[in-house]
Amino acid sequence: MSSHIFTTRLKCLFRDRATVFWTMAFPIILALLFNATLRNIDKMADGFQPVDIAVVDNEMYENDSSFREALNAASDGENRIFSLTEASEEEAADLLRGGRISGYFTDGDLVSVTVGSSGFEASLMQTFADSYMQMHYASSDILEADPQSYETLMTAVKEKTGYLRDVSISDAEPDSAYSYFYALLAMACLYAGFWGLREAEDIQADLSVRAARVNIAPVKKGKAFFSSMAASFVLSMSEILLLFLFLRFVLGIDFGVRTNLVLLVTLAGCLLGLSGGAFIGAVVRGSENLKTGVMLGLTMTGCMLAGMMYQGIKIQIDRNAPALRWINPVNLLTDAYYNIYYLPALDRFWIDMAILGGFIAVFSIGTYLKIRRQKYASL
Amino acid sequence: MQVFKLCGKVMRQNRLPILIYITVFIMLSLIMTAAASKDQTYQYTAEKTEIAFLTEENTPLVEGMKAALSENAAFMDIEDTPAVLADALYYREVSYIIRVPAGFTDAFMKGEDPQLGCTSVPGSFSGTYISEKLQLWLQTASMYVKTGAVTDADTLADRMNDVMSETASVAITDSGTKSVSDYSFLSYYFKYLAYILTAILISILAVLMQVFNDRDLRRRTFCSPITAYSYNGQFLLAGMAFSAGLWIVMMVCGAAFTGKTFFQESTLLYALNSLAYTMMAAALGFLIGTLTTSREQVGALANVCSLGFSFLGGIFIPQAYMGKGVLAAAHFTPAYWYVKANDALAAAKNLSSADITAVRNSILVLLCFGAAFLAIGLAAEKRRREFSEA
Repeated sequence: MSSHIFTTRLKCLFRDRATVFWTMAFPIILALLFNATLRNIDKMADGFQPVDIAVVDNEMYENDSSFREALNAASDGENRIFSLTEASEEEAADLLRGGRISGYFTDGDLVSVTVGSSGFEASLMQTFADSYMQMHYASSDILEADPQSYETLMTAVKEKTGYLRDVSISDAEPDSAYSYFYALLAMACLYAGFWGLREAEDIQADLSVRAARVNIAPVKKGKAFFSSMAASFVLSMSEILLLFLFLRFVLGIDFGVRTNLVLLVTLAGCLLGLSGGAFIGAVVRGSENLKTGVMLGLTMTGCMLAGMMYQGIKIQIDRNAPALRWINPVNLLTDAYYNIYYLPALDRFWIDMAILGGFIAVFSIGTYLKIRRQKYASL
Repeated sequence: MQVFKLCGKVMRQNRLPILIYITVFIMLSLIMTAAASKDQTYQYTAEKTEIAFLTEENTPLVEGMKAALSENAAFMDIEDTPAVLADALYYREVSYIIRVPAGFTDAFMKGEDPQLGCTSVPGSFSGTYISEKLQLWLQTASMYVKTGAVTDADTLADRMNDVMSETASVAITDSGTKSVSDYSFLSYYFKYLAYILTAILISILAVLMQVFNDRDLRRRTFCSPITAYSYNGQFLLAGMAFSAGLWIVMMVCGAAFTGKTFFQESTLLYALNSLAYTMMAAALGFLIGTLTTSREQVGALANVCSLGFSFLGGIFIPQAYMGKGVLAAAHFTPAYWYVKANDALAAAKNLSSADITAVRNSILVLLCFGAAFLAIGLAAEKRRREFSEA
């Protein structure tokens, strides 16, 4: 009997095209939109490209070999910071007005920098010019005090000592765009609540005609409910796994190498969505629209606070209202995916999982207590 | 004017959900506008980079280094634990982490070459920029140490202070445009308005059409002595009245939220641009209402269109950060033209330097989109009527 209910219910759920759209197609459409616009945002917003600049090729510049050498060194090789064009003052001004360069240097008693607007490019040019002048000043200062130190000074100037050592926090790239996709997957997990909500509606005889029909059937209520929930679980888990595979292999979103843990989080997310939806369906009194509204409202608020629309909110909450991060299921799921991908240690991951487990237990027990042994005097 | 009146009656009967819907979207618009106008996450044009400066020793040299960096960096107070630092870097609360190890100053003053631990986002502009600044400062300081001109850290810090006062002169030519970080609250309000207008107008107008699309109701309507021309005309008039009303409400809200800044010359251009967008969105709502058969379908299409336009058109993500391919595809969305004109107005320091051509193009393209949606909608409506009458 259980398998019969399971199979029939699965067919029934699969034919609910509106819910299939929201739980499967909608997250995939959002993923495509995220991918089109957010995927390379770090590179587009802060990716380093050599800055296009010009230098005014005047007499001073011709005679100032040290500035020329410094500028050529900064504009040469793989790690160059500038792409340099030599031009007359008029040409340089034209290039700047046309937006083809970020600014130009003019050599003189003081090196001057002319830029179109403030910004990193302008600051980088200013830093370069300042540093050149400061080295020049320091050299004069040292030689003035001790002319004999010329050779040692030249050695120190030409030495390319690296005073900075790269320290890595993680083996993974800190690609912040991934967190949008993690939040999206978390949202899809909670959208399994649509199915849970429907199960709760379809088992309480005072809420739907279908539930009244199920209640008069010679099947134990518990058996009917758990078989139906199993069908909902299979369908929603399949949808979420499909989304995960789409993100991982079609869009190339990196979830790290600990795939078994990713699947564990996804399973927990699916159970959380289902149990949460069923809990809302059982506890909230009112129309189906109201319950859907409550579920969607909670899910989308959770998504917003977890940084799906605006990433800064998540870190602000982590810093200023840390309690909120532990009670927002979307944040717990997003954080768990992030932990697996980026953090070497898994301490926080297991805390996330334990709280998620607590939520699932509370929702499941609450739903069970609410719908068990209910009798109806009149339907 | 029975059809027009009936539209009003349906709206009045559904006034509560409509009001809730509009209020929620206005609130959403305000949250996004406030967040975007303050957020620096995607506005790397700011001259200061957020960095975490962690030091295991406090010496004059380290203080001097920090002072030199302060011109180009904002120091963030971040807890020194691996997970918090990793979070801060990943979510771009900081773009650079510097750790000064204990004994750095002693080693440096002995002429050795100690190293600072630096963590940044690989390949980032801000990382390259801070590294360059730090490396050049240390290299200059080392010149004093290696030539024996200075032997103690206090004197070195003083000398480096003098050195730092030498700066190049900087001239900024007036290009007539502002950087993204200077865009006003008003410009963000109008930008997000496109998302709100699309979502509300499609949802409400298309759902209104669902009421009229009921098969029995349609048959009853077409039995009556009313021409299809009059029916469509009245319906479109009702849609335009609602759209215009919504647009006025949004303008009043804009004035209420932005205060005096709303009353400036460029607001007229922002408003004209948004009015053209409103007409386009209303026509799209009409088209979707014609093509759909249930409220669920309307809900799905309203979300897909509003979010699709917003992401691809540059409402949520600045157009400047989109790839060439995506931007090419974005030309086919009305939101692209709207945002392009909006950004041109936002970047202009005054009305005379504003790119009026972008605004004019946007209004023309939006009206063309609207006319196309309306024409397809009317053709589909005619076909449906002929089919249902057959």
